[in-house]
Amino acid sequence: MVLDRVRSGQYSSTSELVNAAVRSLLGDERVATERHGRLDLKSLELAQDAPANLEWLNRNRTAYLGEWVALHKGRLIAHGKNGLDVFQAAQRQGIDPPLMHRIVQEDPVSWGGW
Amino acid sequence: MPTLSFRIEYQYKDGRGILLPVALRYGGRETDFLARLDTGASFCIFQRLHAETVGIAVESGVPTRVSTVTGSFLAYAHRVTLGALGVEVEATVYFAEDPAMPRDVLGQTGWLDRMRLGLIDHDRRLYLSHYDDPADDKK
Repeated sequence: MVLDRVRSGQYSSTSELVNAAVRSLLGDERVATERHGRLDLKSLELAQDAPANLEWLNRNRTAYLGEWVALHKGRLIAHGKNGLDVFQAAQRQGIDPPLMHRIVQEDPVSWGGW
Repeated sequence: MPTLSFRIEYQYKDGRGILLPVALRYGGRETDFLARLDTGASFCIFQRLHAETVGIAVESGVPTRVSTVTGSFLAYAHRVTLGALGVEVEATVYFAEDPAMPRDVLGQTGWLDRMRLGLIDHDRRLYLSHYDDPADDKK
């Protein structure tokens, strides 16, 4: 945009051109910064639902070992070995998206991270 | 001593680690799942299914070999939006090539490096703000 103005002769001096370019750069940086850390109400709602979903997982882990489960507010919506099928089954029931979780056998030895 | 303030307090009751609900968004689609907070992990690494449910072609990303204590696996980098505990950020994350890789991890690059995090594991309490949120004292 600044270059377009240079071509059309809108700047009378080099310093005016540099100042305009810096203002433009700072504006872009401000927009980029504001894109970070936005308030996200959906993930807040997920956090509120987390205790019920974690409680369901703790109670039912053994019964669904090796499966994907689709949960919503502490309720099982769908389950199975194929995650995509489970996700889509939950969508068909109007839960879009569900909370997806694969229940796996806990490591026999303590997991030390990556 | 610095004094910090936070946007949210979260009680993680699960004894299997610090599991946080995550909303991953891409191209107007979203998938939600539980990811384990791992301050020792270099990257955010997720299961392949989560990419597929939002329409990401996993192999179209930049390939990276991820090393773990038990070996290594191939993952592909993609730019997505991550929402967790009320904070949304744009981040480069990695999806495992192998659908059998069973873990979802929130690590340093892309997530922890954008946050201000407080942890009282004794009480299973986690405090979170975005790094740029106002703090009482960031010295």
